Amino acid sequence: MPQVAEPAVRPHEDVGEETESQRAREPGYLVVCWNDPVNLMVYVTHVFMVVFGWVKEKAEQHMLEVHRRGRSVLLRTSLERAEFHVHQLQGYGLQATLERDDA
Amino acid sequence: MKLVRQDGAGFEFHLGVREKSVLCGVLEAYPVIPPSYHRLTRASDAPPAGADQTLLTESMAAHKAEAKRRVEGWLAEEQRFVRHGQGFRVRFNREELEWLLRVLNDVRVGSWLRLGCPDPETEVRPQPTRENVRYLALMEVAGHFEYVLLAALDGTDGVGVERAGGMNAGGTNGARWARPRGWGIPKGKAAV
Repeated sequence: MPQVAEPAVRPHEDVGEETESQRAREPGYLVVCWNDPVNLMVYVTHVFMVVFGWVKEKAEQHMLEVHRRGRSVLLRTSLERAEFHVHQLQGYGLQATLERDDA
Repeated sequence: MKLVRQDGAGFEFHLGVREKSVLCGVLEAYPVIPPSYHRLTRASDAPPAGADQTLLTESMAAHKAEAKRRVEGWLAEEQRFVRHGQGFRVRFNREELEWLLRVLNDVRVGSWLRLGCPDPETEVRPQPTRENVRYLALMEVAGHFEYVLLAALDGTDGVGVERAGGMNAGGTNGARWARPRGWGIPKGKAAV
């Protein structure tokens, strides 16, 4: 059985960088929408449908959760994607933030 | 403002003379939400560093500057509004309608901020002063126009009830909307 020689020089591994990019890709962040008394309920439903491509029933379910419970977790995703969605939702004037998922 | 026709090319609305003037006045007020209002997170120990927050603030500022230019260009196009009977007709394609919704919502939310974030749940009343009293009207009116546009996009009367009998040229079926009342924030109905 032929043997493969161990390379004398290993590729450089930057552990710090890899950890950082891995962290950005890990689904450890929540996109949360918070209640406020000014955004119209139909508007919030509409924004959820546009931003996430959800059907109306799902969008309404989350809108009502925001209304009744004060907040709704819309998505659990990576830091990168969570930031992207928060930018989108805030562009529509919603109070959306990203939070670390400690669960 | 009433939806009178919807086809593949977009949506056509009828506005009275004063409605047109009010709509333009609302759009001229844009933007009202300050970029500093946007927060990336509520957790004090969250990992997104200052750079991420700065990115969000700058991104919102750039977005508003671009939208402001578009609003100004839109308002400058006199042929947008076509004289029709006692009022005007105006057409929007779907993308324009979505853009207009965001602009109107910025005016509504920004006006709410200027009024001290009134909230009927916690009995926080609006705090009108000589300087900010115009935002009371802007908040109400922007909410009304939002309802009209959302009803047009949704094919409903604005609160999720489907229009009976479809759309006709007179627009009578799209004329009933639930809209903000009082100081624009009725409990459990018009706001999240």
